[in-house]
Amino acid sequence: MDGIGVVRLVIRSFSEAFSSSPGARLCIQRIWVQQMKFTGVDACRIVAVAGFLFGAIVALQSLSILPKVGAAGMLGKLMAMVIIRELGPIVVAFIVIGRSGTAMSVEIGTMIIGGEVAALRSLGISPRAYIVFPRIAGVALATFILLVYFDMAALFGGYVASSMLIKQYPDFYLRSLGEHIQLIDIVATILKGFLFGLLISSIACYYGLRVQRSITEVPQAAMRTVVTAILACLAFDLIVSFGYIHI
Amino acid sequence: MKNPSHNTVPILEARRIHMIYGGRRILHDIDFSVMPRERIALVGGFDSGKSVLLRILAGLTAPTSGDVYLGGENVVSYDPWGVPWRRPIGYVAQNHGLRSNMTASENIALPLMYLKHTDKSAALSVARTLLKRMGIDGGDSRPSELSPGERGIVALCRALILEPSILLFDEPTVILDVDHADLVMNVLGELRNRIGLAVVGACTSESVAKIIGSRILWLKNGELEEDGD
Repeated sequence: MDGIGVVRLVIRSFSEAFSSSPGARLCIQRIWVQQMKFTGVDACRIVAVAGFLFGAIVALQSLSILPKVGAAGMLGKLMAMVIIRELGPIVVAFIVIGRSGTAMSVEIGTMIIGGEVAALRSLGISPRAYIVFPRIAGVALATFILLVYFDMAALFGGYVASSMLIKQYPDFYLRSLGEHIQLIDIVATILKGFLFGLLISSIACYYGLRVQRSITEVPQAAMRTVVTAILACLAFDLIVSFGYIHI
Repeated sequence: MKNPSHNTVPILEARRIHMIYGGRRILHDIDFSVMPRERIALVGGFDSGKSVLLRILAGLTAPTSGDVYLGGENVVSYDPWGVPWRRPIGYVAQNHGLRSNMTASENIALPLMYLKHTDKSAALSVARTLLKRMGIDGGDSRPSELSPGERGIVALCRALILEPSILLFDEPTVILDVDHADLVMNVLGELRNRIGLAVVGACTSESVAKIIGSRILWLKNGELEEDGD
């Protein structure tokens, strides 16, 4: 991946969008809202279901081991660590990559093949400001919102699973969560949500814009988006986790 | 307003344009200029390089060497995603490049809304008026619901909505085949008289070339072989 190319695309998109005329900003805003709706609102249900299931699975697996070693009270801490810090951001990133990342690279690639991007350029409309910026900004914000949804659904899934398994457990679970979720967990999840969204959307736009002539380049762009975005998110997750441990 | 007919400065100049792609020579030493109100037909076979030349003139593709001047400003850009001009030109591609998720009138209104900050309803009204002058009513259909000729007219309206000084039209045959050809030529004629619009149309047929151009340039194997009035 041309990392410098991606960074340059993001910087130029933002600078061209912010220096654009008021009329352009209105048009860009409309696309930004559409992108937020597609990535954030339309994916709420699938993220909520995935979050609930993941939360329930983690809680069930943990409760099959923790009580045996006398550490049932650690479930809240485990949920905070596994769901909020690590699993939530990664699972949401994978959903956004599969759903929005591929859609964006295919859409932009198809726009290039269909001559839409060339037509915009000839009219004096910057593809970076009009096409790239609203998608990057929309996905970054939507990924963060989805992450909040996922975390809430997962913690609720954990609550339901633990209350089904141990009858007196629900209150204890909630108290344990309250005690172990720290401010830094929330800051880390917000940071990861924004940055994963930024990474996914900028990689998708970059590969979409690299399509040149043939329609067969479009699925290749989607495939490169998926592979690169997954690796980039995992690498970034590792860096944040290192930083987290040292804090 | 300055009368464009008295202007002797070329709107567009192509100087020593060479284009090599994939080891193959596409264009060789292309040199010509376009004056205000001029109508030029660029005629050539399917593989003659006329579409590439139009894309270079439109600032959408960088030549291997050579310069393109629009109003004296060199506009050759090597930025594949940038905006080539500070002021708009009219460019209609062979595939028309209409936004598929917008209606015909929304496609035409977009430049007005984006670049001129025109209110959406006012921009749509201007778009519908121009479409009507070209013989198309409504404009609420999506590009996929239109015939190729109608799509060509919508793309032409979008290219003309900002009243550019030059129109570059790749394969206008498709719109000249439909019933609206006279209406289209009338609108182009009116813009020529009012704002000095120059037209460069690329086509394969000499009969179409005679309709759109008063000056015919022949492009064979990437070279400008003949330049006759």
